[in-house]
Amino acid sequence: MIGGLYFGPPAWLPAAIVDHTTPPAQGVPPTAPQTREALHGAVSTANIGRTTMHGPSLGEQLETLSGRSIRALVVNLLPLQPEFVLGRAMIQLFADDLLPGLQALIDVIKPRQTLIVFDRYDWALKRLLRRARKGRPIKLRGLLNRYPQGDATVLLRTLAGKRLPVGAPPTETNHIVIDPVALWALGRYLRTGLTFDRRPVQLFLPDEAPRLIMGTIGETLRTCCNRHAIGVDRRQVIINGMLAGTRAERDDVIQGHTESISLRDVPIAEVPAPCISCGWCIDHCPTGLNPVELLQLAQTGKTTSSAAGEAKHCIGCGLCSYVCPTRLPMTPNIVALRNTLEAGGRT
Amino acid sequence: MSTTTPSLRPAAEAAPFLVWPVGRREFYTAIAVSLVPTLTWGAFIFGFRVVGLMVAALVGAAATHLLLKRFTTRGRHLVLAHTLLSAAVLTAQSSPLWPAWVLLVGASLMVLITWAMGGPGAERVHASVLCAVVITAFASPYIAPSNSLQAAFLTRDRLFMGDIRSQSSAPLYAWPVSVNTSGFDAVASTPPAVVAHHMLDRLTMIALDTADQDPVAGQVAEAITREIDMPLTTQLPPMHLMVLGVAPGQIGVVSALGIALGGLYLAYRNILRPRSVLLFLAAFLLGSMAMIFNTTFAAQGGAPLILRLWQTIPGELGTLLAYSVLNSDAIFAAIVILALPGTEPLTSRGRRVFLVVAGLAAAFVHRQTWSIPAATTVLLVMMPIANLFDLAFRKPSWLARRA
Repeated sequence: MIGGLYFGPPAWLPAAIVDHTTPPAQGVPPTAPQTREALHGAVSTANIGRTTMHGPSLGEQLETLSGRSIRALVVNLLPLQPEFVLGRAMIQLFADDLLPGLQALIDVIKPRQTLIVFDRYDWALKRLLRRARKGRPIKLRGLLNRYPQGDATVLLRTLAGKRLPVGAPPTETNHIVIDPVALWALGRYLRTGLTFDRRPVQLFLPDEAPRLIMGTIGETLRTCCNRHAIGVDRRQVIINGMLAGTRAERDDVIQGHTESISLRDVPIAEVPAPCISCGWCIDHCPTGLNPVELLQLAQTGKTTSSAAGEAKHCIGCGLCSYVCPTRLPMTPNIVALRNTLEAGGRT
Repeated sequence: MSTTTPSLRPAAEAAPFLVWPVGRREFYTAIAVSLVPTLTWGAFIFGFRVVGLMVAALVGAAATHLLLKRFTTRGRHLVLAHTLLSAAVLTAQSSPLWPAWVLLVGASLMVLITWAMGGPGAERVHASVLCAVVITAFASPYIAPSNSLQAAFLTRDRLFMGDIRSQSSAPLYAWPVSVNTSGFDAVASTPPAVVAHHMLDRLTMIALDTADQDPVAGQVAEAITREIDMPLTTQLPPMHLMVLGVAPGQIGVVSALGIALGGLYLAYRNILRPRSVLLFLAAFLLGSMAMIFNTTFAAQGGAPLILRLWQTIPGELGTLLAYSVLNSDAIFAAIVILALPGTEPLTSRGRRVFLVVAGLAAAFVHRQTWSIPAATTVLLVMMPIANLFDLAFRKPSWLARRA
């Protein structure tokens, strides 16, 4: 594993889990797909788009699959943010849909091996997985979960030594990386015919235990929180985690890849100070970049230099800004530089 | 970097929304805390006077800091923890015999220099280097007698009992007792590294005198061993006293054990990179091994003769080397100076090359003269060119490299 910080296994199990039961099948469920095209069709019909903020969706990966022989189908149960527990919760609560979804993928894609990747020190999840995989040719692979190990680029580097460009589909390296929510949505569709209209969302509140709720895709964050008797007024709303997430407004809607909602009182921001050259950002960068140099380039607008080109390897994990003792906002600036470069903004 | 901060947005506006609980203040405070064991030991060994020196440095630094912060616009860049750390490092580097006003002025000067350069992080050279230059230039008449470092300063009998007025000359082969200090306040001695270097020079002369003989031959080896054994038992302190720091030297530099304890704390706080410490010390040790004999000998005898001597009397040479290294500032530099941000390059490959070069250079300087703290000086002098190592040995992201 390169760079990264070890935050330990998820320290919490959902304190309150609501409406997680899957309704019974309505009418005749769809037939199980037998070909890759049929599988892609099923994913499209089920409206399974992006289900995670890290990496492309299942549909995008199937699109780029063509006739490739897949080396490994990787089910990624690693927490994508240090505070996340979705992987364990999905296995605990939704195994009835998740495992058939995985089986359908295995049957159609026929990968050389199927791996379930999880936090090596999450003993509870390991026990659950051992019970769940009985009779299936699925390998379990525990990894040291140093953030951002769950990112597809970093994961494939650790698992297979592959260099997957940031944002590229893992199929480029003959792998498929899939998150548990996509598997659950597929299995649920194949069993009941229900499309992907709701998803489990982790809810983090100040001074309260975290919760796992079912969020309806398309409803506003305010509506969703009010439904669970949670006030959002005068609070900062952050979606998809504290390290790599984004600020949201109360009237933004829940999407397929809304994995978490965090509410907190607006903090007093620390004022950035000049870099003291401690080198922590470089030590922790999982892709081996020089974030402080990229920050300088981004701020001075020198986007044409070859050094600035390194920004395209930034996965936006937020670790550089997180560890910076002078609180320099490296991540937003480098991600902006990366986006500029990707948009062909070299001048 | 110093001019870019006003345009930056507060960290809370974009990811990450959390920050590591170690900010600048905690960073510098941790380094200052790591100096506590060695400075405490320095106060114990060198007496109550050292406490006065520490107070003088802290008062000078803090007063200057507060004045600049209060009355100048640029003063807002100063960080109190950095100021106190500068004072602590200066105290650790000073001789126990220096007048207190030198430390008072020196510590004020360090803060003033840091302020002039734009605050911590904006400087491209350690303020301590400039401060040392200024002190040497203007205060040399006052610090010269003790700066020769030929005098040990052991005052257990006078601990917490005031100033030192008289010293008796005695070797440090055992912990001095009351008899040694009878009628005197302290014991003066030659630093072990100076003794070790003198013995190595003597050994050089023997080896050169017998250059036509095979130095591994029994007679020559016996003569060399005889030459070394006597001073080893009568002029040099036992190794455990060396590790503890019962030897002449700077206040915070003499105790390897105290510095190592501080280093463990810094490593625990993720401020010190243990690999950097080991690499620098390894380079220093290798350099010292290679340059253990003086340059005349190396030129005349060459590498083969040095190697054969190492094969013949490795124990004696190793012991002398241990005294030389333990009585140097290498461990202090490897732990405290390397922990100061900005001393070493940022990238891993550049850092490795830098540390090897610095370690070898420090070994060379240490072998040449005892009058300056070689390792610290080399690291501080090389700091401004550290980023050149980053540029020369930069490594692209592993994503950019092709198999």
